Amino acid sequence: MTNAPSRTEQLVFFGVVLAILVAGVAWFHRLAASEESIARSHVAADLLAGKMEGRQGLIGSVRWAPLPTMLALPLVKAPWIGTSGLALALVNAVVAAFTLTLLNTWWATFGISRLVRYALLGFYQASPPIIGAVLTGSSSTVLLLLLIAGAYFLVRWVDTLDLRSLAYLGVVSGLAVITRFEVAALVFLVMLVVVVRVARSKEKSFRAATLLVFLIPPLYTGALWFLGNWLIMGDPAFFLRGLIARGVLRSEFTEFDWEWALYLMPALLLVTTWTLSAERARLEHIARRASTVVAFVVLVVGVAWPYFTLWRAHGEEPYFGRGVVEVRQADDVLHYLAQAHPDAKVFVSGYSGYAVIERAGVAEPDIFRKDGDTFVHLMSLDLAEIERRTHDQPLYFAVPKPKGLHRWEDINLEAPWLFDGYTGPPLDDRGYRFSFLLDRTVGDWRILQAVRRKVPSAK
Amino acid sequence: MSEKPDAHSPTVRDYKKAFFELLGKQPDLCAYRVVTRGQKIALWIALAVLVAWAVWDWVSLLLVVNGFFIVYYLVLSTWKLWLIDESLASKRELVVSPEEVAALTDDECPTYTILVPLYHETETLPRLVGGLAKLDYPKDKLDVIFLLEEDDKETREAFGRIKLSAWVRGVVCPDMQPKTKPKACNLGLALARGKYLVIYDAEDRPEPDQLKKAVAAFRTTGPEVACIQAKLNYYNPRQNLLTRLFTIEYSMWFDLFLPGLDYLKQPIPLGGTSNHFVTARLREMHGWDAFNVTEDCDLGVRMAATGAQTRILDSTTWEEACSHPHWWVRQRSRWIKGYIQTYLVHCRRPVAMFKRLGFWKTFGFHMMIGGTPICLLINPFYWLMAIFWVVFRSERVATFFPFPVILFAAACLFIGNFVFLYAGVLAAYRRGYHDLVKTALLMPIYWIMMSIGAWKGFIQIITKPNYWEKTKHGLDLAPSAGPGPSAPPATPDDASGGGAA
Repeated sequence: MTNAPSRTEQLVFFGVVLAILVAGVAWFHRLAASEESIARSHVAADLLAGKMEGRQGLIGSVRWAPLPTMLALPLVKAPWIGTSGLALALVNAVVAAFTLTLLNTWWATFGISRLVRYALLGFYQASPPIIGAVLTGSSSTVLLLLLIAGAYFLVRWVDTLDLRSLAYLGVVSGLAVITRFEVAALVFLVMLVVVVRVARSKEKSFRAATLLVFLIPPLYTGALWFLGNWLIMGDPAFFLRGLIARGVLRSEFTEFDWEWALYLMPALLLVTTWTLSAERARLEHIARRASTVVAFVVLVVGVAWPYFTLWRAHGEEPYFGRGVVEVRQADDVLHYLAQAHPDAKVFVSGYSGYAVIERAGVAEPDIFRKDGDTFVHLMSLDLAEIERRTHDQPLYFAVPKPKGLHRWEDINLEAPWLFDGYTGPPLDDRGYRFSFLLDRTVGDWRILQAVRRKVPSAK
Repeated sequence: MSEKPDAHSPTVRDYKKAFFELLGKQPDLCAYRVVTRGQKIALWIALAVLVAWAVWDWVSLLLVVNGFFIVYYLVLSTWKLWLIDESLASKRELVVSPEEVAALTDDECPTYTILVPLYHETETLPRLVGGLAKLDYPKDKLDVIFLLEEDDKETREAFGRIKLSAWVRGVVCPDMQPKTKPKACNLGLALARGKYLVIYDAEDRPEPDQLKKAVAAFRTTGPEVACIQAKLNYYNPRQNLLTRLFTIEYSMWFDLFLPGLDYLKQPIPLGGTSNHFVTARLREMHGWDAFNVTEDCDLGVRMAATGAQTRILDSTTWEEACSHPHWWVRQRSRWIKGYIQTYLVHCRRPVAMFKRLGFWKTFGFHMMIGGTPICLLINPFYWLMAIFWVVFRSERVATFFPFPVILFAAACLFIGNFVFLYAGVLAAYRRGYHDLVKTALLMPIYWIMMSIGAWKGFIQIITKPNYWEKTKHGLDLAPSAGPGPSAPPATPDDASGGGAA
């Protein structure tokens, strides 16, 4: 660590990066907010308000893992921020600044000059998936920090076998699991690395202890997730319903999440770092230069690649706007409902339903006047509860089209299959007294009219 | 004052002067009275306010009290996390290499006084004498003082049967209240001839080169260092589950928390034995508080208040882990009682304490000295509430945990407890007790025992404030204790593999 920047330099670097990112976030927020940031902000606000929706939203879905939402907690009550989605973007600005500071410090220890470091970091942070995640308040930014920090501690531990690095690797892995559940697979891979690294030790207890030190935090956070579901939802596997439904309904597994590219980023940075560090120690001057150029090219290509693929893949929609498409469509939904069904009571559900609630106060503030409860958000569309709350009002449900890997997550956590067959047959056999008629499709949303059935009094 | 009276036998007045110097010179810092009149008045007023508040609206009272403790827990957990991180970051303690030890000539070794307080220690006495003889230190520079008690005939007789070397002498403390170890140590301090002074308990097995390491460490540190605390650990960690857990706790304390405190220049609660003092500085401090049952902890705070620094030495003294729950609870109750005593004594004049210690050390004092007993006393209530809520889902419990209190409470429950549990795992690993890492997962059982001991100590602070609950040593030698004591490991790696089952 002889070349590590001083504490002051690190602070200044962090401050400058943070200021730039916060300015970017503030600018972008004037244009749009993403569905994820709005949903997580609302969950956090509901949590602080002591609502069941908040508790369920925090732990009730593998897709919406709890850690990023928890990070937004301190901000959602702040004026000017609230549930507008800005909270997550600001958290991301801090997290990204921290990530860059970590990388800057790490690379500096390998003797990489400041100019090269800043250039590489600039390219990295300007990459569409990276900056897009920050601006739209995506949990990917938190994940990236954890992945990069994990890579940092893994490299250190493999090199030195020091306990601190191993402990932090474990803790970072534990946090990553409750940021994105898919990381569990990565934790398994890292576990294999740990096993291989200590395999030569003759002492069995040392091998077992090393593995335990690494595994305890991810096992603990994973267990907490189950425990939270058991305590709050009464079912330890409640949050797995989306996955289970996907398996039961044999969903298409051919789709890929566009954010998979993010997972490559830490590996890319790792390769670059290794290349740069190895050449410092061993190579001649010219070879050092050459390897630096190679590393630089690898990084630039890796970072630039999304510009030419992901960005263009979305046609007319700007890349940054990808996370905000749903929100804009929520405005269209609101506009339609205001025009066509001004007296209706509209239920929205799940995480995406928060976007409609949020935009209702912004996009159509005058049309839905009355008593202010035109829109009702329930984390799970409990039809018995809805029936109890409503009387003769026209009843509509705004439901996202079932599509994508998480199709059942957003619609109805309690009954993920509910709107798959919306064509109108009564749902008696499933214990519901409603029929659903498709009223209109608006973008990726469907407006469904709920028709009450008269049921025998015995029922 | 020696075993064989000389021509100038000391008077009762001489003894009292030696025993109670702190009481005479700085009565405000002495636990002779645990609670002063001012503190009593303050406590009664606080109690009256709380009772009145409870009568008026007990729900809001519990809500506020709950909120206070939750915040306190969070701050304490964060503080301990910081300490752990600092101590894991690198070797924060003083490290003396074997080469430095070897380079120390006999001439460079000053006279070293070793105080060994003994009370009902007939079983451990032979082992103790053998252990002291193995110390790698010029014997003509040793000044070993066995501190015997007048009413302990068996130990005195056993001591009389031992063939003593010239560097060992025995001193009998007259039968006088309070019957505490620091009182005996004060007598030893009055008689000490050494430039440096260390205390070892009867069952202690210091690493043979510890004295030389301490001398070398004193030579490399500045005059501000008045005390060097060697690490303590146990030579019988695998005797039973209790000793396993106790060893993990000790490893956590001496290998994680104290090095962290050392690095942050915080008051260090000394460890009872193996604290090496500059004798002159200890005399300036008026020795130990004879009325405090954790005189070591109190001395650590007093030294910090005068600007004298305590450092941690990377050398271990192997002790006997109490292996029987009955004796363990007695020992723990004394420790907690002593922490409460120390806390009350130093909080008598909070402003003066703040001036003496400054902000950070005062903060550290409240965290380490106050936080230890407070958490142990409060923990059972929170555990019971958590269990009650999980089992019955009582709305009444939920009343005291409105948002965001429930969030902080959840953070304490899920993060705070994890921090302490994981700290046990890390401590066992760092100490080289790799086979104990999995045992660390059972620490919650141990926390329950700690709380039992804490409550016993808390009750005693009211009923018997200066009563010394003697720890029984030699339990590892008892027939029921298994295959017998394991040899102290020479290195952490040895420790991980060796030892009796």
